Amino acid sequence: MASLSSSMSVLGIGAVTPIGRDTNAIAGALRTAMPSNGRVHDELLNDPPTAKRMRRADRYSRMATVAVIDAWNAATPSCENVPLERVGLIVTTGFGPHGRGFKFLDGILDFGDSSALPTDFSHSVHGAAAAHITEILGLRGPALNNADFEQGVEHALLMAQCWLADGQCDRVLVGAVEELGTVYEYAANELLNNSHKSAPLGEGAVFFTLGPPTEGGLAKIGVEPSSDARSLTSFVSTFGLHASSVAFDLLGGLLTAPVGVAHRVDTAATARPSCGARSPWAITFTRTGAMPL
Amino acid sequence: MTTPLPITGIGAISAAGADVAATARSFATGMRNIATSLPFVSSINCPTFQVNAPLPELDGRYSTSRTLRLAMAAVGEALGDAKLVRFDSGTRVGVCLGTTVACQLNSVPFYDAFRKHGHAPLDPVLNFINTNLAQSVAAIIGASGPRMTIVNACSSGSDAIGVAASWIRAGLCDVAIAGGADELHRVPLAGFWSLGVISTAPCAPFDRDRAGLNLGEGAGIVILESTEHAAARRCKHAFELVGFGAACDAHHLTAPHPEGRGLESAVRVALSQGSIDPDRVAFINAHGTATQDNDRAEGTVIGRLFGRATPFLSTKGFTGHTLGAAGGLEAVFAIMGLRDGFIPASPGFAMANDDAPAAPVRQRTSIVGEYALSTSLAFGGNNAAVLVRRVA
Repeated sequence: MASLSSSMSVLGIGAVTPIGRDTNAIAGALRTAMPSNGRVHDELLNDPPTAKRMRRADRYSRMATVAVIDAWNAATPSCENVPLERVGLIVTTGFGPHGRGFKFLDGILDFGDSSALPTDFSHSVHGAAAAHITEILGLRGPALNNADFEQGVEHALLMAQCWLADGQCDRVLVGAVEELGTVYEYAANELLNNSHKSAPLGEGAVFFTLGPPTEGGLAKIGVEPSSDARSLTSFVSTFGLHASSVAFDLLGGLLTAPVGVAHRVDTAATARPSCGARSPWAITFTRTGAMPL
Repeated sequence: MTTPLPITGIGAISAAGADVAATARSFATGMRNIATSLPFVSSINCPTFQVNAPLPELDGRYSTSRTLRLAMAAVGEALGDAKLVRFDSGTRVGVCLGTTVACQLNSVPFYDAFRKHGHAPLDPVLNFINTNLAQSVAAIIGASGPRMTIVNACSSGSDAIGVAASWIRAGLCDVAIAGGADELHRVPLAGFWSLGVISTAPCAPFDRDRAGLNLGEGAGIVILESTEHAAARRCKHAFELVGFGAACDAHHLTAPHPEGRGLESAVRVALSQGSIDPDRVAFINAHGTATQDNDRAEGTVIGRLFGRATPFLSTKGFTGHTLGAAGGLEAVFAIMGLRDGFIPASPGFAMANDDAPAAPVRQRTSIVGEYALSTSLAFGGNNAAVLVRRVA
């Protein structure tokens, strides 16, 4: 039985958020608690190098793709000599590309089952973002799309640890993406109001280029089982509700926490015991001081 | 060589049968259970493959998801087959399941009402959020290990098996429930119709005149265990997972690489993990959707790696394309072929293209050998290969 390494090196970070895309700008906005309207500005999603290849893509795929490309390009050490068949990709989401999914339903309702648009269908599947990413970067290793409302990022990080530890991959791009569509916004506001909770809605994507713990990098990150959900450290409470909120918390922690160890403990299990997630996972990250901020 | 993992239980439900035994009877007789009417209102008219057997009754919100009920039928059978009716408190059980339908809020009536009025009753949204496949199965059976719902389109079930194997090998769990489930649904039917890949006749995988796929529904589950856990409970297993490979085409959103580049990589990784050459594979349960692109790419890879000597079939002619369930079901079918010593004639296949590098079996074929391979291709250029071995 292989022994799972307890940590990975964070080699690069890519993020597109309602408060910016550049990590320095995001860090500054976090420190000043800059307010946002929860939506990513369109101009942050229009990259000339990928614009033509992404011309049919929707916001979900664009957000994920620009965040992954930024994480890939920011990696230190560089990924340029890593064989592309040894690079893994894990995309986590709660709701997936639901905006495009409802657009496909528009086609069904307006024109009938047999006349909806094929491009809307092909872009409404959860794997659409990963398909764009692997095609643009030429990645030929394993790719996973994970749908989870509670612990998606934790399990994605666990899989990255597995792939790096068992030698399947030399690098793994891991992150989360969530879009704020009108239906999701309506439903979430209704449900949150009814449950007397308040949490601002948001969208965006955060991805990390991860390597083995020996690779140096900006920080160390790991996931371990935790029976003690003792310290919820929510660095960023102004973004997404589900899968991406954990990724945003990690980003906020990496960008704003002092050098040293911090924890992000998922309390979903204790908050929603009816969902049966009895084993919360704790994400631990340690800034090494090499963060270029 | 990667450490083999005991497969201690299997479960399957599809149009081919409500359980593994019924499926075996369909394979033995060659019976195709093709439905000519849809279980929902649609302007599309085409054959499908439906499950007509009663499904497990689930409590409360879980009762609203047909995909979850299909999954629980196969999970229950697989756990029973593994004699894992109840878990010890210290047993860490992982759940990794693939799906496509259950990961999307596809309620047309809800969305229609929302479009018209700007608001709509939220029951469909709550049901969707509360029936995430792996979360729900884990909750129902009381699993306390890792869980993931893999949404890699048509390779989801195979990829879920690979993830579960990684968990066990990494020591994250002792037992893993892996595979996939999907129900027949109006929205993906409209989607595949829009792409022009639905056949209005019964599907004919790898046939020269194939005209596209038929959709189906079902669930296929394997129980993986660590060798130590299986030994500790004196479970004698007859099959092992010996290899798994996954690779991307990096080519196109919906079309496979024409030469099957990613599939070949995935198969080579699986064979490498099993430390075997292609000629040791007794047969291949191919993805074989009966679309022009899939069968051309897959047939090319099979011919290139295995030549014409290795028998293969597509079971889509028995089950239809069950999307997220397909990889789980076909891993079970691969095990059944090794267990029962035969594979049926590949249903729907009559004549190969003149330039086809390989052709599926036209008649019931005896299987002698230890290894079987199941392959999956998917939207997004995902490819996966599952290699199993008979050990007893």
